[in-house]
Amino acid sequence: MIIGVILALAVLGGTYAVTPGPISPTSVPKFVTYNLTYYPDLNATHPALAAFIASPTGDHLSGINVQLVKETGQRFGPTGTRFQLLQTNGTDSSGWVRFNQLWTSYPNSSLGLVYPDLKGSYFCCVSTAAAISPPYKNTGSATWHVLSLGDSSKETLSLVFTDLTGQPLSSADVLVWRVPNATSLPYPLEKGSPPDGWTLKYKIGTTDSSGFFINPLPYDSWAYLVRVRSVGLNSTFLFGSFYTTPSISGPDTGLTFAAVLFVPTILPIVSLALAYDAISREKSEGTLDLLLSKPVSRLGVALGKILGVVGSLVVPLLIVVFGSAALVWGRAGTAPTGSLVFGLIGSAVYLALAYSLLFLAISSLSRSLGSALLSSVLFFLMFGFFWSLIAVLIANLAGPSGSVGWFQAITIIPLFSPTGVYQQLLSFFISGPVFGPNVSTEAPLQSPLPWIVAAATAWIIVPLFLFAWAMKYRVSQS
Amino acid sequence: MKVIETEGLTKVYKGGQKPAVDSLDLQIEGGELFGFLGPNGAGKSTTIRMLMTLLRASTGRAFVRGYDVQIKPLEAMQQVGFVPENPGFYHNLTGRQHLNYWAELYGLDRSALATRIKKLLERVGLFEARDKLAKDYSLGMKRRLALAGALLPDPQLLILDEPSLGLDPQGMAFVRSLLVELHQEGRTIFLSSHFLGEVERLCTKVGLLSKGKLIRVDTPRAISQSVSDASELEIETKGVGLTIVEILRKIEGVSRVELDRTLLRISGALTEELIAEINRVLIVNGVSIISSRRQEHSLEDAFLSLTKGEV
Repeated sequence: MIIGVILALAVLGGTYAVTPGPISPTSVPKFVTYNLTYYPDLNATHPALAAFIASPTGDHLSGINVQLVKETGQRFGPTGTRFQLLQTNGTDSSGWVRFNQLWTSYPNSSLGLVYPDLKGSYFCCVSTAAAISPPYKNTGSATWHVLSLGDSSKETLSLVFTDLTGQPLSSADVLVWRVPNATSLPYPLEKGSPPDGWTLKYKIGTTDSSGFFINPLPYDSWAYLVRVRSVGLNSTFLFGSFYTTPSISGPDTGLTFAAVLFVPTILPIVSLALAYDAISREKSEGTLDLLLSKPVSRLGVALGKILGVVGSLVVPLLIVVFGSAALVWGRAGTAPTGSLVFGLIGSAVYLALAYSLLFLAISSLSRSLGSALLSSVLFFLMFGFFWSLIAVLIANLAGPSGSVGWFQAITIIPLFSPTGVYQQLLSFFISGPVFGPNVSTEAPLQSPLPWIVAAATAWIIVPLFLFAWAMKYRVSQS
Repeated sequence: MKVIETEGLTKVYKGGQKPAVDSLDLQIEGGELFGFLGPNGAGKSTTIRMLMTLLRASTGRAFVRGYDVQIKPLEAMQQVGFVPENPGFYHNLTGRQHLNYWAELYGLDRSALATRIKKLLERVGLFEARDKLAKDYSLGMKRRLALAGALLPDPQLLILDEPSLGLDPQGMAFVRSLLVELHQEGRTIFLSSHFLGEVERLCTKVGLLSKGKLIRVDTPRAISQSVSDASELEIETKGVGLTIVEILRKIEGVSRVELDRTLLRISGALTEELIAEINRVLIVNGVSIISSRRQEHSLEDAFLSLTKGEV
């Protein structure tokens, strides 16, 4: 009981601690995550890069370091380590940074920008321009841009539109054209005029008063052409774009941490403490004989044990999750996403049920209290900790990172653990990776849906069957 | 009506060579106080566990209250009170809380439950200790709590595994008098024991179990008497001589006569007529009888004789 309260307080405290306060333009936290934007479309007529950095609230951020890097020949990869640092510039008071004469200095190079100080939700708006120098004026070009949406369904199109003076372009139509046969894209980039038919039928929304536009795009293609059209304006505008896997920010940060870090650790431990001795202790202390010699059915006793253990887990769980949500709300100033709160609850109830059934089955099959505890702890360590490492190991044996075999292994092997199934269920409700002070989490790669359904069902049915079978034919029967 | 009945009930434990219970055919009539007697390891507890659905029989069938315990366990257990040899209790529940919990399992009507539990606690002498944790009870108190639990549904059948094992003499006496009382109320009681004396004094019928096999079922007296041909008469005399011994040996029915100074030990089929004849012969021959004592053969002798010392 006391341990349960301490654990609950730990979760609440942890959740509170990693939740950022309301975003303030003057406080840019230090982050170690590298966001890399890659620009292959530099050429003789577009020799320069300009980047504009703004907070999600539209504030232009000054003094932010931006690194110009050059690819050193290897394929653009997820590790992002094969780059050579060329220059570092800081953003000016308007949030702008520029790198001129790139084509002359680094002809035929693949260049990129890295933002070592930034994480997730900050917007980095970049354009290539013929000449970028103050005073910033409309360039008369760059009305379209190719966005390569990476390898996750969680990608969100996040854009901010502004002119070169940093004036936001509000109420502008955003049009999207999906590039067919996208496998040939984005490198090398198709040049030339935007595709035919840039009409309002491609409109997916309009920018807000700060010039921001955020829209999740379906994951059935790898590249989009995006164009902004501002009705009533004749001049063309520079439009910056940044594709991102938007990290979770604001009120969802803490809850996501709780969901990814705390719940899958603490919930199985508490369920172990409640379930490992549910049958084995009754056996060893002799209470089972009195119980089973009463006119009660053995399956009824089993059901009672399940309800008892799961109920003892779910009630505190609901209190902790809703308590966390309320704390987070109070700290961040906005309510956490409803689907995250209820998705977390649903996934956590599943996790509690799966582990409880597993430990109950172990408890009913074990010969003694000691062996029940030992087996339960071993299973917990196996599924709660080591299995994710084993999955990576198997994936690396199945093929090189990123290959079909590797991908299949890394998305399917984790499902052989209840924790893996939990993470998959959770991934339907978490919109991306989350970074906090000194910690970060990654949303797992999504497994194929039929596998998730099969694994989720199996992790309930198999231990349930074992437990029921043991209660009927093994416990006090042989 | 047979309250307990078994047909060829057999249990062979996994890895066990010989059956722990071997083709047991047992029939217990309603109203009996049946003692299931046998040494440790004879198979008493195994039999009781099979009757109480706590163990699956290898072959054979067991009926409690007419219900096959494997096929209709709930019906069979409905009106049965059971006290295991080592009843276990939940470490965080008091005696009274245990009774409330068991009452739920029996599905007893809640309205009169508090009074019923109070009466049961008084009956087993635990009313004072009702709100103490049951784990802190002495062994005797634990047995009595289990017995109170067994009496919750007001059962017509009580099954007790070694009810007085490990108790102090006072505790034993308490349990025995309670059992007699419960029997007098018309309940059938089936108890296992390896205390011969207890069974002999208490039970109306005895089943002798040895090495998993039922050797004999009868009243304690009948079993004792069946070995009475080996019984003995001890007579303390004055003026006895070897001639008298020779005369006594010639009496029909006397198998052996020994003289130890003034003490005569006479064995044989000592019927009342024979004893009278022996007395007459002694007096006629001028022997004074100071005392005469018939050594009754106990159930213990019968048991040892029936199991041929294999105990």
